[in-house]
Amino acid sequence: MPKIKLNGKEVEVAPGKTVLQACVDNGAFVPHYCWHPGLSPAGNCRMCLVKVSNSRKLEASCMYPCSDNLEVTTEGPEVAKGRQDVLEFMLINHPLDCPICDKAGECDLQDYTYAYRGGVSRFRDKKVIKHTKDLGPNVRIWGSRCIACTRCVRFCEEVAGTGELCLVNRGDHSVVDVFPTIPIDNPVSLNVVDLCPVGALIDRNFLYQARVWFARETESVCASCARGCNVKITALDNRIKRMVPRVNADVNTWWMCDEGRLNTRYLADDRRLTASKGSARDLDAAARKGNFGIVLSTYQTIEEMWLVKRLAEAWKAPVGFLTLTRGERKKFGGLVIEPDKTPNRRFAEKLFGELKPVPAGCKGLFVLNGIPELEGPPELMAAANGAEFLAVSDLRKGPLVEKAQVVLPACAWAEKDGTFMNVDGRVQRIRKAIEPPAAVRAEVAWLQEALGTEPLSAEGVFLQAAKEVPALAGLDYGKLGNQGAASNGH
Amino acid sequence: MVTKDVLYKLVVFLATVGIAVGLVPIMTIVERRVAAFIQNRWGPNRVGPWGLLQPVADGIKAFFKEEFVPARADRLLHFIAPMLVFVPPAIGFAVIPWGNQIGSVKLQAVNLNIGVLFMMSVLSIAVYGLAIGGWASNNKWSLLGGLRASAQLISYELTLGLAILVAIMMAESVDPQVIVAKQTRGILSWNVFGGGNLLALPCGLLGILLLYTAALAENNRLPFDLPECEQELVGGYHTEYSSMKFAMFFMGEYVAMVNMSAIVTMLYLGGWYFPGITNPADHSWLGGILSVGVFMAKTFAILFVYVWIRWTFPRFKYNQLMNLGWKGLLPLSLANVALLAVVGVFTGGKP
Amino acid sequence: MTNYNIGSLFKGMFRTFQHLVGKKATLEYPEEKYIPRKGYRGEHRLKKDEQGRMKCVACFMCATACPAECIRIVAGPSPWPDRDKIPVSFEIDLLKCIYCGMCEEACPCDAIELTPTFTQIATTREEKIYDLQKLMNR
Ligand code: SF4
Ligand code: SF4
Ligand code: SF4
Ligand code: SF4
Repeated sequence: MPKIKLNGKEVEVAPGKTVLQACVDNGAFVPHYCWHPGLSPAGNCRMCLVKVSNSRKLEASCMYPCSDNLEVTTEGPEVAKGRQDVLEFMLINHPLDCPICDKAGECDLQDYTYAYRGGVSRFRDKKVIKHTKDLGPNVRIWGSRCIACTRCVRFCEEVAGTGELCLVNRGDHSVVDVFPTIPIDNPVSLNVVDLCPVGALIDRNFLYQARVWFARETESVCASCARGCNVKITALDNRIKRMVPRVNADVNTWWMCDEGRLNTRYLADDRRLTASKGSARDLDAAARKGNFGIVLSTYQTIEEMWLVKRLAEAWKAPVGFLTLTRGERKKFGGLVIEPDKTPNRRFAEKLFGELKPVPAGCKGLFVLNGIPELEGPPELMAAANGAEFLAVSDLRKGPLVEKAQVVLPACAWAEKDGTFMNVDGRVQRIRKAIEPPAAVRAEVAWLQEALGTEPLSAEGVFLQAAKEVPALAGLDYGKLGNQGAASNGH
Repeated sequence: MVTKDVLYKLVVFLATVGIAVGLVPIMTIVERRVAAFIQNRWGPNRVGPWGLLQPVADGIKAFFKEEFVPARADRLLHFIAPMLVFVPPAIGFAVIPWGNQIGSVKLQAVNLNIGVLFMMSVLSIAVYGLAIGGWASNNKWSLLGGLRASAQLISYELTLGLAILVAIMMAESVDPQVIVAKQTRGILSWNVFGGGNLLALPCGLLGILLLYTAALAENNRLPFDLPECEQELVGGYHTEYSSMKFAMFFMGEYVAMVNMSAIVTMLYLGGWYFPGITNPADHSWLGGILSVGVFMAKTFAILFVYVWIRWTFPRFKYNQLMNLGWKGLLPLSLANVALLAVVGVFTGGKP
Repeated sequence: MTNYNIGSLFKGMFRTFQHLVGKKATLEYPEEKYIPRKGYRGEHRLKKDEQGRMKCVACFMCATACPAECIRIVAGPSPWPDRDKIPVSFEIDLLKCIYCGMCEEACPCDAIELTPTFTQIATTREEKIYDLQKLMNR
């Protein structure tokens, strides 16, 4: 194991690591654009210059291997001057139109320019203007802002495996483009927007939607497949504006898929169910008449499932399940997109054993459907038609809701607190990012009303569940944190 | 001719009452305009020419306000108090000589030979109005205001009396007619300048100063307006009064002010006499009217100083007020009386 | 012992007398009109360029600088080739505005400006929320 001296401090580095990695691992700040932990190093932005003891000039730390007794300095006037000069070259053709750039506020170029440059340009000639165009259905490029770091190109080659993007032209005319007739349209294409250290690549769905400093970010988990990618939800004026992945080495590494990212529109759908009919007490009264069945979707949180289980025991009702599976498992680097399109099937299996189909021939039926795209599958409609009493909790209006005697509108996953267990058995928290429509209450609240127990928050219900469900033993919201925790017996 | 005399007296009497009440609205507008001018504003200038009808508007407003009596107030006393404040100073006008004679008619409603004493006694009744008003409202703040008022009035009445005594000693009479008559021998015969005896000049100057200061306190004028106070007392003895009853308190204060100014004029400033303008021997109509004019001019000058002082000085603290009254003004006025007596003895028994 | 400084009393009275006869500061409003000094900060307007198009590029800098948080912009794509972004809606709540002028200061396009208009008449709260049209036509 080589030992290097980082800013005067001796640190040990795993063999084969570069200086930049050593700095990042040991908390020394080195600005960089082209280097990304999830991609191969390219060494073309030169921003990561540091002073090393066995070279007279500054070296790009992302390509410099650690050797024994190497002395590395990441601060000081010489290094700062180096960075400043690199930035000056970058800014020759960069428009610095931050006020109308959607990246402003979270742009590395903006931050470093602010930190290292005095705000004066010595460049007197005409800037090179490059193309602004759509590269694919979701991605648009402002070529003039591109600093040719090739992160996006490498992502498409190494992670997406599709290689749509390439760098065209040379010198200060080089810019990212797609091949004619082949737009960038792969299941993880939007990750290039997050990767782009500047505002060159922009998500067309987020374009002009919000200045990021006005928006509120909530750490949550994507609910669009059983993987449970860690995300940050950006919301403004009680609308979800976008989702971006959070790093979690055990779940999604740095990426997430486009489908999950864009699956937020149903929250503001006009067909959203907002008015309730009857109450949870009515449901309880009807259920106690006997011959009652429950239909539960695997979109519900751990807390909700556990409360439903207690209701099923109280009512002696069989529980059938609604699930959704589509496509096949796809792997993109550290990200695996699951065919199971619901977030909590794994926990349903742990709690109820093998998932049974919708119970047929019941006199009363209670349907708890949180799956946005599933509206009354045939077997459910058949069971509902045969029932005398129907209680429904759904996100959107539909044939089932029209039939129901009791309607309890559902909260979408971004409108409530709770937990999901992902396909690997990892328990992760979702957090309330926006408020539900005015009259909509969290499921946890009215399920407890139906049970007739002391109303607890989602956290309280989880604590209760953790005492009784072996898979959750020893867990609480504090332990889950923002990275989740592996469940017991896994 | 008894009937003719009675008729004349009646005219003079009605004129006196008219002046007493009529000066109040004039004073309110004067007060407000002067206040505004001192503060570089214009003041009320929208109602009538130069805002002169403002008091009328104020009066109409006061009339149409709700007449409110607190639930547990003593209704009778609550009703009487404002009158007790308004009426005595108005009665005090009766003995003020407004001018020289016209023919054989003296321009004084009642020719009382103990006029000054009469005046002092009626003036001291007003304090009952304040105390009763505070008490009857059944409100602790009002009560405190009333108590403050009575303590203040009683304290300063001493100084007031002693300052009046100086003038009486100079005139050797308590008859207003005599007091004024003695001051009609040239400007130096005014009591403020010693009443014809130059050695008594300091006594005269000090006397008018003391009288005026005590008058300010008697009338609850700034800087001695402690009975009314928003910060500590919510308002004062009149907190629970509204409409015309409140207006009565308000007018009573102004009547008392006018009255006090008239007293100062009469006792120290030569009454209706001004050398070169009025002649004591001239009993013609013109002379009479001129003398009334001179008296009014002097009174107004004093009233103006009232207003001027009000918008110049900040108010005292209550303990400072009492300190000044008892430890400052009272010994000073005693000394003044003693000094005048000594001067009198040295100048042949006649000051 | 209290300091009875009679002299300063007369000095005070002299000073108030000077004010009594001095020049008055009051402006008789409806008859006399107040003419604000140059640079007075009144109602806002959005400026136009030579071709009569709005100058604003919906950058939100004014909304960011505004301490009263009274500017609300919704951005959209621009129909003109020389810029990317224009405001689709631009609202200033003049009831919240403190007329500090920070928006004018922050604007990179010199698009927003506080005019010397200081009399504002409105009968409802909604009228005091100036929209894009109203701001452009001032
Ligand atoms: S890419 Fe960054 S530096 Fe360039 S205009 Fe956008 S925010 Fe500013
Ligand atoms: S578009 Fe962005 S990520 Fe791609 S090369 Fe340019 S700056 Fe780098
Ligand atoms: S003047 Fe100040 S408060 Fe008003 S809109 Fe501009 S920045 Fe906001
Ligand atoms: S700062 Fe100027 S250009 Fe930017 S949004 Fe405000 S008015 Fe428009």
